Amino acid sequence: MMEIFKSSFFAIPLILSTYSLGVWMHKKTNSPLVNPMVISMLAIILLLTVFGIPVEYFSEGASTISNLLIPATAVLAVKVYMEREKLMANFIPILVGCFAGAVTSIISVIMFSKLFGLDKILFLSSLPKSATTPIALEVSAMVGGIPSLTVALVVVTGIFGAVAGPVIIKLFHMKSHVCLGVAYGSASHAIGTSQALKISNDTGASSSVSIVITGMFIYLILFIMQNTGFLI
Amino acid sequence: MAAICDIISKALCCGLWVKFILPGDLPIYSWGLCVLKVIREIAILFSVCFAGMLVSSLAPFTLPASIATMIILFLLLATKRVKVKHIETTANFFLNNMMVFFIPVSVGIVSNLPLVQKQIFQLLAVCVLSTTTTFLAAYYSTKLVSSLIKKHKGHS
Repeated sequence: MMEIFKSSFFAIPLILSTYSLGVWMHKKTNSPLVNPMVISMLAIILLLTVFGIPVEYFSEGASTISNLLIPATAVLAVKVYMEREKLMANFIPILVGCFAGAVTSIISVIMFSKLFGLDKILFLSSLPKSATTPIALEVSAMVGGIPSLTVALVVVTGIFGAVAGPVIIKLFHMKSHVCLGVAYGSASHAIGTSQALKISNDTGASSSVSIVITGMFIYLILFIMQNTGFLI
Repeated sequence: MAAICDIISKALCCGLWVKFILPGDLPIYSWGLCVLKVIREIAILFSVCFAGMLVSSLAPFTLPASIATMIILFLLLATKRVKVKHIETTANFFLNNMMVFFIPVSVGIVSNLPLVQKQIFQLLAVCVLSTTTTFLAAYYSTKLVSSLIKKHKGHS
């Protein structure tokens, strides 16, 4: 009887309906704090625990959806390609800004983890947290972190960036639109970009490009660090 | 560099069936037919994904399949072997609903809950502080470089 919960026809409707609920709540409140993915995740966890369905059963049914992670990541290339004119107008500043963002994000995670005495596995999982979710997921598996924890941290980073961004901007009197886009994109990826779009179209465009470039830099840096034995 | 891109994308196109499902080869069907358009878009996009998986399994180092696919798709777009309109509808669907595909993975956090609970505040503190530093670093380095370039242009 329990076997039927392994079916995709249980997992997919559960994912899609909870996600639609999340999107509806996000539209109603229009706040980055109400994240559709977090709502869907919490609702699913709640339902699974209440009805005593093992998470493994759910994961097996949901594999149809998780298999589509590859095309979902690949289409980021389309996004960069469509914004190529705006990218080319400020190519070097955006590239340098993204590189600085990626390096700072990794170094600051290392430093603060040492400071707070974080467990090794938690530290490894939080290394790629400023990359966009699909890249962070792969990088987390590469360096030996817990992918599901990394996804959660990436979302927390995004939400924090989107909420704190306007405060930081006001505090430091930041004005340049393109630079703000790079800052939002490289610090808090897609959730930050939704906030950047509220400033201007230029900010949104540079932000969505920097998401991908920062993600690639984070992958490259962590790849090099791992192969030179820095992380072991 | 352009020559290398061209060779790689040509090899990929010939080696796989991406070329055969591109329009032009089958003039009877028009891209205006909506359902067929989406079916073809999925065929093109998933073939590129297969190429990415192939490259990632052949690569002598760890190259995640999704990153390989992204690079290949970008090369195909940049060399105009695949045009944006060939994959537009499907690509937009994935871009707009990307977070759906991470839900199954994120639910897996339940099995790691004891580990996370122990150091939840440290973890959040690292997240918050590191995000703030990254935000500032990215903003000021972009600003510095763009003002340097402007200055350089003004001199010459």
